[in-house]
Amino acid sequence: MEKYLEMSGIEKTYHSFGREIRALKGVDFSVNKGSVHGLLGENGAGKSTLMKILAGVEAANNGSIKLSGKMLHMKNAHAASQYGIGMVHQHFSLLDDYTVIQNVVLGMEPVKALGLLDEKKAKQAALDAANLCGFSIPLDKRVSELPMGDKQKVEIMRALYTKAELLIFDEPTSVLVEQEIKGLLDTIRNLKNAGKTIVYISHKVEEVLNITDEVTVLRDGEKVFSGETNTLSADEMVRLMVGTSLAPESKRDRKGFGECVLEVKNLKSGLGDKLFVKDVSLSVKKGEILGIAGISGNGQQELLDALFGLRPAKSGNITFLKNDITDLPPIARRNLGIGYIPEDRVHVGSCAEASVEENLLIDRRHKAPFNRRGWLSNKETEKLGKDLIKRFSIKVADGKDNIGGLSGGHIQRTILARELSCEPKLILAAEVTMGLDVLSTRYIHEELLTLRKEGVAIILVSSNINEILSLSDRVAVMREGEIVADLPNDGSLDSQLIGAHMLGIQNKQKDAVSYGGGV
Amino acid sequence: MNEFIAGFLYTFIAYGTPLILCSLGGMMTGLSGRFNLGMEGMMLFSAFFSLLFANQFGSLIAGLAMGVIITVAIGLMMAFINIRMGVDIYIAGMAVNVLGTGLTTFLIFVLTGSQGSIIYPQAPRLLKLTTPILGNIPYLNQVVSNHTWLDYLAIILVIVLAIVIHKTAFGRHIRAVGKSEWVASACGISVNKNIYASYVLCGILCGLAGASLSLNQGIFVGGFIGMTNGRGWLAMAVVILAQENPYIVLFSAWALGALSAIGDILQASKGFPARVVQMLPFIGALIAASIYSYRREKRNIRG
Amino acid sequence: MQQKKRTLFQLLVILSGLVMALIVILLCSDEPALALRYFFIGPFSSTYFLGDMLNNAVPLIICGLAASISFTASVWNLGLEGMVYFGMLTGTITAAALDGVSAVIAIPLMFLAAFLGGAVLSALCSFLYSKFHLDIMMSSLMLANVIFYLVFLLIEGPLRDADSEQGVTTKAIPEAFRFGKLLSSSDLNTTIFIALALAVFIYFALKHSRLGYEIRMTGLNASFARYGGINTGLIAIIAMLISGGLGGVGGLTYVLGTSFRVRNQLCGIGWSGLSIAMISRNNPALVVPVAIFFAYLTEGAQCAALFADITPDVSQIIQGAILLLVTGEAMINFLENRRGNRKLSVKGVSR
Repeated sequence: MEKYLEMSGIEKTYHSFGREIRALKGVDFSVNKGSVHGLLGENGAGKSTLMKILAGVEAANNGSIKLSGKMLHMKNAHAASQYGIGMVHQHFSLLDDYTVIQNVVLGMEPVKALGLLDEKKAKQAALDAANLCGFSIPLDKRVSELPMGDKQKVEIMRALYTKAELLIFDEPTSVLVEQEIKGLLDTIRNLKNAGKTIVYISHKVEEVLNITDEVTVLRDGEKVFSGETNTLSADEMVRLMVGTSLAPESKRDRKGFGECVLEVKNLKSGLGDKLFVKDVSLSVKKGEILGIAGISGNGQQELLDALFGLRPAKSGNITFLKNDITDLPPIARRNLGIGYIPEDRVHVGSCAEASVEENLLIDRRHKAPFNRRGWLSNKETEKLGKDLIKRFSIKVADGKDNIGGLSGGHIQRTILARELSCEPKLILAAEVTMGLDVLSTRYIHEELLTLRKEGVAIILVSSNINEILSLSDRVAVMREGEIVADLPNDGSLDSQLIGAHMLGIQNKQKDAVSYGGGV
Repeated sequence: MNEFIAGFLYTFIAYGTPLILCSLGGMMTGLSGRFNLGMEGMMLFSAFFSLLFANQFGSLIAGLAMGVIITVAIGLMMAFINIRMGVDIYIAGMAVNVLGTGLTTFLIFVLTGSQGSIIYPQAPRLLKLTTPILGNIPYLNQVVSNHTWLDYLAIILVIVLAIVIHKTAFGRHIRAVGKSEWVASACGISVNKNIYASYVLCGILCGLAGASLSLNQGIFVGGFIGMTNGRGWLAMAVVILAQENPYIVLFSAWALGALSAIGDILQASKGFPARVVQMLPFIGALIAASIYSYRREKRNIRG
Repeated sequence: MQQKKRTLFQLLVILSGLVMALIVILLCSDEPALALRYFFIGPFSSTYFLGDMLNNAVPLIICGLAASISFTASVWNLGLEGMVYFGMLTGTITAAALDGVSAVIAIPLMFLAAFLGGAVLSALCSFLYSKFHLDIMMSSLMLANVIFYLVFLLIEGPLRDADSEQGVTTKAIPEAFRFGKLLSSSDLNTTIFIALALAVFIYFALKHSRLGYEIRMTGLNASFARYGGINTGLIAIIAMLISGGLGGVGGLTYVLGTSFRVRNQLCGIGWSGLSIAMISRNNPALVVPVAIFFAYLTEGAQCAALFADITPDVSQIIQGAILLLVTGEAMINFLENRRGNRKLSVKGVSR
């Protein structure tokens, strides 16, 4: 069978803050017509980059692309759609302000004379695309008003509108929950039956085993395997992805917990009339990890912001170590011993154009020995930098280099270094391992478990159910600003149950025990 | 009294024209996400060159055309420098303003030997039109007649641009670029082409605006507060208030013109100091922009 | 290393600015050789011109510093010219009013009045932002235009000095409060030391003081600053107040270096200050040489205007052209090999 898609010798190098990153080192990638082809690899392996080159969103430094034997000149995304290649991006390429119809036809709007839009044709086209997959979404609604799953459907509809024959799905389940994933996989099967060719990018081995016919595995910018999916076992896939057999992660050991460190009662937080946190109550004990599961965007970010003081509390109480901290600013909460690892490590947790030293200094800039009567001590700052870089193995040549040049994993290490080095008693952590490679992920999980052993209380927000289940002592689920479940992680929980809570199809389950014992 | 009101209405329409044109231009660049801060400079260039060439060739069209061609060239240059050389668009705008003040004064000196302003009484002026039908209605004709065809063009352009922005593919594309360049390019829209297009349009509109200033009376005054009189900055306020709606440009420009006209009346009748009159549009813009920002913030908070 | 390449590049552009002056003069002058000689060498040809040049640099340095401080905090105080002009007025009027009072008291008060004049306008802009969320860029620009006409009104009316031989101006700053001349032949006076001292102090303060660190972090990434515990709202206000106040002081030094009176005419040093800050990338250490270079261009143009047939505006043209070229990020990127890199646009993932 002649290969439908043939990418040969693809190379891509990025330059950032003086660093050179070789994302793809001469990759060959081929796909058979009508198949569902998985592109597997861990975060940072180069899968997204390779497909972005195919979709015309990025340009390769070297290499060629052939479709049905014909050489393609991939100038830009427009060229790609002309060739019949469409991509469903991980972070949707949709405009919130525009309606579903407007987004579906964006860039290739049907026009009448003089460039005037043909609204009727546009509506019909959107309807046709929806019907092809059996979607039913309100077409005149703005995309900002749609749930995640529906937004993804609009992405798919646009690819179909542009008459794509080859569809690329980039980590499509990262924003979906268990039950929605089933719907997605059905859609993919429908598309396959309609004759489309599908490339499915993922770092989740189970998904790839489930849905794909063939698979290519990338590791560190190189292809390490290509063949039929059913010739590999899950373990073999993991080994190919990571390069070695991974020792099993250290397990959470059973232990007792200390007294209550943080108690939150009826917390409400929001902007104006809109509440993001609607009457949340929870508590964490010394040495306990409370995992908060939930689809991103259900108030978890706002909850942690409110607990840290970045958002004001409308009503309710937050008590930390017997202190009422409800109205205290972040700096005061830091002083009491709360650390925060925010979800957005690039735009909130660090300052890309500042040096590693300056990033480490921010939470202690007002304290001695760094601050003497309003003037900062260069010597002390350097000492801090050297010390933390060594302790946390941050891969940077000099503390004065910009942090923006570091990889995601090392930016995260820097943030951890800063937050942990003040001997905090409570850590608020959001999506700590998102987008990181396996080794960095392991490192961070180890750090969290070590902290737990040392008696630090941790609130861990994550959309990765497996991470929650493996690390947490208690699991809470947040949905639409409320805690809909709060249960001990005693082996009775599984991802199906958690997923059900996340979608709101399970009745609220709160363990009465969690509210026993005051601060 | 009728004369009085008619005179008032006439003034504020006339004041509005350069502001309307310039704000429409600013709006286009705002929609593409690269707002043009250099409109003062652009208008100075256009006012100067259109008068110069109108006088040189004795032709209004030649003057107008040259004014527009030059501002379009400046717009293209700004977009080019921003896209290709990575110069911040606001810095490019400031530079155009500095260049505008300097180059026009310089060229006036080189060409005529005078310092800062030129007067060409013989230069062809913008034609004043008498409206055919409305011109016969006794009261209305004082308001509506005697405007130059450029004044009418400005209003027509408001309507045209409203259609272009909201009812054409081009309008959809430009707005998409302004909302998210990444999404636009992922949908096959050329970000660069749209930015160039917005600057060409802005060039045309500011070119017409500048020409309307000098060709009206055959005078050009340069310097830091030259004949543009801060309209480029006022346009900024108008663009913020109008967002994606050209009709609000029309309304705001007329409102500011009304302020100016009221000031003129007060000056003529009550001896209001001229300087205060000159301040009024800016105070008006400041108040309007404050109210607008306040309400927008409230809306954002309410989600 | 990257920093050195960047500075080298900026020097190259400034050189090309001079080449541009060459071309403009060649094209427009009937006696180009003469004009060129006076333009490039004139400023150094006598102590008068040299002194005049350095004297012109003084308000430019201070206004450049004023703009830099606000830009460092990402506060776009584009209406600086208004603060300069108003502070110029308040300072001069205060000095005139204090005629007869001991200089030891009056001079600091004069400077304080100038600072407060500028700072009051900044405060108004900050107030409008905190109350109405009105962008500083907008409020400062609108306010500046209002102030121009207001000051004109005052100078042409109640504050006019009827005995002034220099046209429409205010009263002069009393002799007792003027600064000592450094060279008998020019207006260069000891205010230059104030300017240089300010530059040195601000450089160290931005780099090594706690406030400087907080201003820098607020400007680079306000979310990060807030997360780290910095009160970004307050820092922005402080930066704005210092910026406006320094602008006012810059205006006062302009008056102290020229006619000691305020005219109903804009001098443009506020606008130049903005350009200087942009070209120096808000680095106080670079503000001084860039300001002196701007002054050099102005002086050269004036020399050429005096003795040849060029108008002083040539300097404006070059300043504008340099501003356009020297801030070209892409050129710097080329030196740092950043081509082909996509901006980080997705939260959390840094590749």
